[in-house]
Amino acid sequence: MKKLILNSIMMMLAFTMCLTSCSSDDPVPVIPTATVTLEVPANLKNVVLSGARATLTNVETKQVVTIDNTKFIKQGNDYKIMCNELVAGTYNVAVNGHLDFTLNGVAGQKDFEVRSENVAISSTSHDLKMTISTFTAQGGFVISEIFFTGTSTAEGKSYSGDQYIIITNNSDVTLYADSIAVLESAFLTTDKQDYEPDIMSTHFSVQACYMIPGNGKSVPVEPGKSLKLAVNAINHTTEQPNSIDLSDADFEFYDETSNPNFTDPDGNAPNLDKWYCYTATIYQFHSRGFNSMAIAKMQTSKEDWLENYVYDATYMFVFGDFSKEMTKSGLYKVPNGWILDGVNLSVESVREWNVLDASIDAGWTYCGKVDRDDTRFDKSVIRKKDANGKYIDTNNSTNDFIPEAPASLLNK
Amino acid sequence: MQLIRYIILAISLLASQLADAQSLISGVVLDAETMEPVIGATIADARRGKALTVTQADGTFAIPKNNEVQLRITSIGYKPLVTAPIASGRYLLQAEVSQLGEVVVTAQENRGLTTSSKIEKHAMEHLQPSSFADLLELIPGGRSIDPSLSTPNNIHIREISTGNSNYATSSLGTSFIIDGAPISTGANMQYLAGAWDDMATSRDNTNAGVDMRGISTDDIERVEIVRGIPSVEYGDLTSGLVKIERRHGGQGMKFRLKADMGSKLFYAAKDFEWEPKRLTLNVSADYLDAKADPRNRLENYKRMTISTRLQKRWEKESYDLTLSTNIDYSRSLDNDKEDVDQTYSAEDSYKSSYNRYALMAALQLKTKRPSWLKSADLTLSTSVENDLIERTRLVQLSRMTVAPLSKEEGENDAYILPFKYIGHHEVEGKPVNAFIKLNARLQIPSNTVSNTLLIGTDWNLDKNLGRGQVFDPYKPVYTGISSRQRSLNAIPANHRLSVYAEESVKWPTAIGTLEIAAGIRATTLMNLEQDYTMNGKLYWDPRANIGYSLPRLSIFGKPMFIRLAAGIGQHTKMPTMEQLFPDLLYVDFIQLNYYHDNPDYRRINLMTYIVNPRNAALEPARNLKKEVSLDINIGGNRLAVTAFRERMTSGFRMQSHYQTFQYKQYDASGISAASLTGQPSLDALPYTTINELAGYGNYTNGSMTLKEGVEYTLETQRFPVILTRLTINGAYFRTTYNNSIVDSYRPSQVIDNRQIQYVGLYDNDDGSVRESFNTNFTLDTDVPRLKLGFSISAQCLWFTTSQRKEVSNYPVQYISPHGSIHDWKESDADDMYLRWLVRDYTPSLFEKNRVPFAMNVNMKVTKKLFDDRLHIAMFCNKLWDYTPDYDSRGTTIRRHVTPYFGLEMNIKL
Repeated sequence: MKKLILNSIMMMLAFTMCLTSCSSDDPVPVIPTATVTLEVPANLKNVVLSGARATLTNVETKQVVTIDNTKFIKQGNDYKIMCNELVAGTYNVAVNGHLDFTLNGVAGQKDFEVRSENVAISSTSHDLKMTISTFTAQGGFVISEIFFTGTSTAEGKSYSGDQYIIITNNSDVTLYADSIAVLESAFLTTDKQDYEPDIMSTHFSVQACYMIPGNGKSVPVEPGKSLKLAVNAINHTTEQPNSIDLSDADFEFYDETSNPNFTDPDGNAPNLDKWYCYTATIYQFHSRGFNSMAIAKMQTSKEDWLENYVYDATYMFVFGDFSKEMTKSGLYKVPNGWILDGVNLSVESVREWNVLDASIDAGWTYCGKVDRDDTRFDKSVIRKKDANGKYIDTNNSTNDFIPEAPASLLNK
Repeated sequence: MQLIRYIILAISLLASQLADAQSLISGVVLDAETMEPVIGATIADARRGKALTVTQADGTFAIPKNNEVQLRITSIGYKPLVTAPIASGRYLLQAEVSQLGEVVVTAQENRGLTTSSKIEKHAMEHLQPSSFADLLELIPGGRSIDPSLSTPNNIHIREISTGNSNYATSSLGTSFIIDGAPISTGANMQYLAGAWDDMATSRDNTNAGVDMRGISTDDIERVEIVRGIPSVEYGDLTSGLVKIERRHGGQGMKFRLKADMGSKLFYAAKDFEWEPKRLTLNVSADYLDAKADPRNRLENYKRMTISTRLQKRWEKESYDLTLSTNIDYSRSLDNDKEDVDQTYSAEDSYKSSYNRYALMAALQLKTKRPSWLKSADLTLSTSVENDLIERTRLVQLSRMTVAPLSKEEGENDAYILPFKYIGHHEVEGKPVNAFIKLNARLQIPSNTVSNTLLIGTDWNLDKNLGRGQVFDPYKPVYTGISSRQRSLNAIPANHRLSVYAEESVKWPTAIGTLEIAAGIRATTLMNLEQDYTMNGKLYWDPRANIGYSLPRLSIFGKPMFIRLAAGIGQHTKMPTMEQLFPDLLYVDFIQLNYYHDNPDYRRINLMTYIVNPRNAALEPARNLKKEVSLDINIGGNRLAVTAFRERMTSGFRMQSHYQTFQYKQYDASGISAASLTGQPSLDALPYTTINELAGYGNYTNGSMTLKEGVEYTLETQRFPVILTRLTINGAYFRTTYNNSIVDSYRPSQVIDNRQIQYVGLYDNDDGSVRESFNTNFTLDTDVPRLKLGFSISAQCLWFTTSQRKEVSNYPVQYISPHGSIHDWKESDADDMYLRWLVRDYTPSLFEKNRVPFAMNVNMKVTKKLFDDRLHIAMFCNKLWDYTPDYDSRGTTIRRHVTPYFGLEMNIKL
C-alpha cells in the first residue's frame, strides 16, 4: 500500500513537471487534469493491466495524446488515467491493453480495446468513464460432456477404455485450466445413506481427484474452446472399430502401476496429476453413471489437501436381517466453493438421491433408464447450448443436459 | 523304520496264535431279535451264584467242562436266561424292552461308547434323499434345508459353519468310509488358478473334504455318523467320521424314481444271493439330474454312479472267511453355460467333471475256536480319478493388457494380449489313491472282563498324475493369473503310515458295568523333503472313551438303565497335497510401460520374481475332543445327552505375507515416439530403483476352531393306540472361529500417484462366535394295517447368534517399503500415509446379532401298495412355518419361507 502511495506521488510529480513544460498562451482553455476511468467487469478479481495504451485524438487539431501503461493508476477494480494540460475540445478516445485476472478463482486473460468517439472535454466536463464492454466475463469452465458409458464390441460386450470428459471454457475470456481437478463423488446416487457428519452443504466428498498440471498459466483455453480428458488417450479404433480415436486428447487419466494386472496404456497426451484415488487398480468412470462428477479449481497445494481434507463418514448399513453402523473411510472432501461445475449422474430405476449440493447441481442426468441397460453404450450426457452458442448453466443438469445424446466424438 | 518294527511285531503276534486244547464248553450269546452278539454278558453258575466268565466282543464264552452246571446268563438290558449248557452253544437273550418289528424313521443314538448317530435304511426311505447331504437333517443340530446341488456340499459336524474357506479344516477333517474304504480327497487339485468369477470359485472344493453330492444313498444299508471320539482304527480326521455300509445280498430288482423341485433321480438295482454258496452280488446304478433353477437348463449338476459288490463267505469249522469286493464308478458333472440369447458369446461355459473308479477288496477272518486271535481284517482299496474342469470364455479387453510368460526370474518382456480372443483353460487332475489296512482283534483270556485288543496298521498313498492347469498363456481366460503351468505329476506322492492299538474292556460287576475303550494311534507323513517340520515326525493320537452303567433299576414298574460316559481324544489331519506343495507364485513388476500408436513399438518390460509359497513349517491340524454323556432308558424310552468341547488350534489357513522386491522404474518420457523404428531400447533409458512390498498367500496352521455344545435325543416307545412315536432331538452349538496368527493388509488407496506403500500388521485378526439352539419334534406314525407311514416334524430354531470378534482398528506394527518393521505409534494415525492403515470397523460391527425363533413344519408320507411291491412316498418341507418379523437395531426384518416338496416311487420286482 505504501508503495502504491509512493508511486502515486511520483506520478503526480511527473505530471506537474509536464504541466510546466506544456504551458501555452493559446486562447483555447487547457484543462489542468482530465481523467479517464477504465471500468473493468466487476466479477473479475485480481485484475492486472499490462501493455495498455490510451490514445486521445483531438478531432479538430488531429493532435494525439498517448498515455502508456505506466500512467494507469489502479483504483479498486478499475484503472484511472490522468491527462494533464489537455486542450479542451472534442476527442476520440481509445484504450487498449491486456488484462490478467481471476474469474471465479480461475486465472484468465483478455485483450481489450474500447473506443469513445467525439467526446467533449471541457473545463466542466473532464472526467471520462469508459467501460470494457467487449466482453462480459460471465461463466467459466463447465463440464460440457461426460461420456461414461463406453462403447460396445461387435459381440455386445462393454468396452470402457474410451471414456472421456470434456470441459469447456464457457466464458468470453481466455481461462487457464491449470489446477482444475476432475472429481468423482465418493457416494453413489443409487445408495442413499445418512452419512454423519453431513457435509454436503459445504463440501463435496470425493473418491478420486485427478488434476490438470501446470505452473498456473500452462493451459490457456480460449473462450468457447474445450479440453478433452480421456481415460485412455489412444486411438481405440485400431482395436475396437466401434470406438473412438482419442489420441488427440488434451490430457489422460493415467494410472501408473507396477502391477501387470492393471497395465494402463500411456497415450501421447500429458497425464493428469493423480492426487488421490480410492483404488490401486485401473481408474475409470462408473459405466452406468452411479457417481456424480465435478470440476474444481484446487485452491491449495497437493500436500495441504492430502493432509487436511480427509473425510470419515459413518452411516447405518441395513441389508436383509442385518444392520450395522459402518464407517466409510478413504474419502477426501473439496469445499463447494472450489467447485466450478458439477453434474449428478444416475439411473432412474435405481436412483435414490443427489450427492452434490443443490447449489452446484439441483438436478441429475443419465444414460439408460434401467440398471445395466445395454442400450446406454455410445451415449453420453451433453450440455445444451443457447441461441448464442453458449452452454446453458443453470446449476440444474436436468434442464441443462441432453441425456442419452450420441457421444460427440463418436463418428457414426 | 520304527513303524516297520511295529508291523513285524503285530504280524508275529498274529502268527503266535495257538488253539487252546483244554476241554471246554463254549458258546455264543446273541440278542434274540437282532442276532447280534451280546458283549460282556455274565455267565454264572445258577446254583452257586458264582460268576464263571463273561462273553467276549463276539459274544462267545468258554468255561471248563462240567455237566452239572446250570448257567445263568445276565446282561444289562436283557432278561436273565437260566439254562443248561446246550450243544449248539447258541444262547438267545430277550431284550427287556422289545424293539421287534419297530420301524425307525429317525436317526438313533449309538448304544456303544462312541457318540454317533445311526441311520438305517427305513429312515432314508422315509426321508427321500437325493444325496448324502440330505441325511444330515437327522443328526442332532440338523435341520432340513433345501438341496443345493449346483455347488459342492460339505459336511459340518457340531458347528455353525461360516462358509469361510479358512475354516474348512472341519469338513476336510471329516473322513468318509464306504464299506471300509476311505474316500480320499488329499490329491484334489481341481481349482481354476487365477479365477475370480463366481461360476468357477463357488464350485472350488479343494481342501474342503468330500463333496457329499457325489454320494448316492440308494445302496446304503446303514450309516453311522461319528460325532464324538472314534476308535483309533480311524485316522486322518479331526472332526468326525462317516461310516457307510452298503447292502449285500437280497433278491430281485429295485427301481426308484424321485422328483423334487430341483432334481430328478433314477435308480435301478439287481440283487443276487446264492445262499448255499454264501455268495452275493449287487449291481446298481443311479442317475441324478439337478438344476439350480428349474427354468434354467444351462446350469445343472448331474451324477451317475454304478456299483458292483460281490461278497463270498467261507464258513469252516474253526473260522469264517469273508471276501468282499466292490467296483464302483461315479461321475459328477457341473455345467454352467451362458445363455446365448442373453449374453455375448456362445463360448462362455464352465464344466467340471469328476470320474472316479474305485476298487475295494476286503478279507475278513473270524475265528470260532477259543483263541487269542478273534478276527483279522485286510482291506485294500484303490481309486483312480479323471477330473477335468473346462472353462471357456470370450475375452474382450478394455485396455492394453499383458500376459507375463517368463518362467524364470529376471527381466523380461511381457506379451501384449490381443483385444479379443477366446480363452480356454483346463484343469486336469488324475488323483490316484491306494489304501491298505491290516487289523487284528485279539483277546486276552479272562473270566472277569470281556476284552478286545485291536492292533493294526494302515498306509495311504495320494498321488496326482494329471497335467494340472492347462491353458494357452497367449490366450488366458484369467488375465491376472499369477501361476504358470506345472504338471501335477511332478509333485511327490503323499505317503501316510499309521499304526494303532486299542484295548476295549467291558467289566460287569454287581455295582454296574464299566466299559473302557482306550487306544493310541501314531501317524507319520513320508516322502517329504528334509526341511519340513513334519519330516520323520510321529503324531500321536491317544483316545479314550469310558462308560459306567448303573445296575438295573425300576421306576413305575419299568426297567430303567442309566449310563454315564466320558471321552477324550486327540485327532490329527494331515495337510493335503495342495497345502503341502502349492503352485509357485510369479510376482511380476512393470519396469517399463511404453505405449505407441504402432503396436509393434509397444513394450512392457517386467521384472519377475518366483516365490515358493510352500510352508515347510506346516503341521497337521489337530483337534482335541472332550465329552461327557448321559444315557437314560426307561422302559424303552431313551434320552441321550452329550456335552462336548472340541478345540482345534492348528486348522489350515491361507495367510498373506508381504515381502520387499526391487525393480527398475524406467522413465520413458525421453523417448521420442516419432523417431522410433522399433521397440524402445532399455539400455539408454534412465531409471530409478524402487522397493515395493508385494503380498502372497501361503498355508499356515493359523485357524482356531472351538466347538462347544450339547446334543440331545429323546426317543419314545411307539404309543400303542395312536401308533405314534415321538423323537425330540436337537443341539445347542457354540462355535468360535479365530485367527491365531498376525494378519497383514495393504491399503489400496493411491495417494499422489502411488499406492500406499505400507503394510499394516494386525494381531489375531478375524474371528467370530456363532451360536444356535434347535429342537426337532418328530412324530412318526406307522400303521402296518394300512401300510402307511407318515411323519410330521416341527423343526424349531430357537435362536441363532453371530458376533464378530472385536479387533482393533489399529495395527500393532507396520512394514515399510524397504521391508523394515516398525512399531505402531499413536501419532502415526495422523500421518498422511500411515493413517490409511487404520481400518474402519465401527463398534456395531462387533455387536451380537441375534435371529429369534423360527419354526418349519415338514411332512412326509409313505404308502406301500401291491403286496409291498410299490412304495410311494412324498415329502413337503416347510409346509407351514412360523417365522415372525423381528427388530434389529431399529429395522424390521421380514423373513420368508418357501415350501419345498418332492415325490418318489419305489418298485420292487
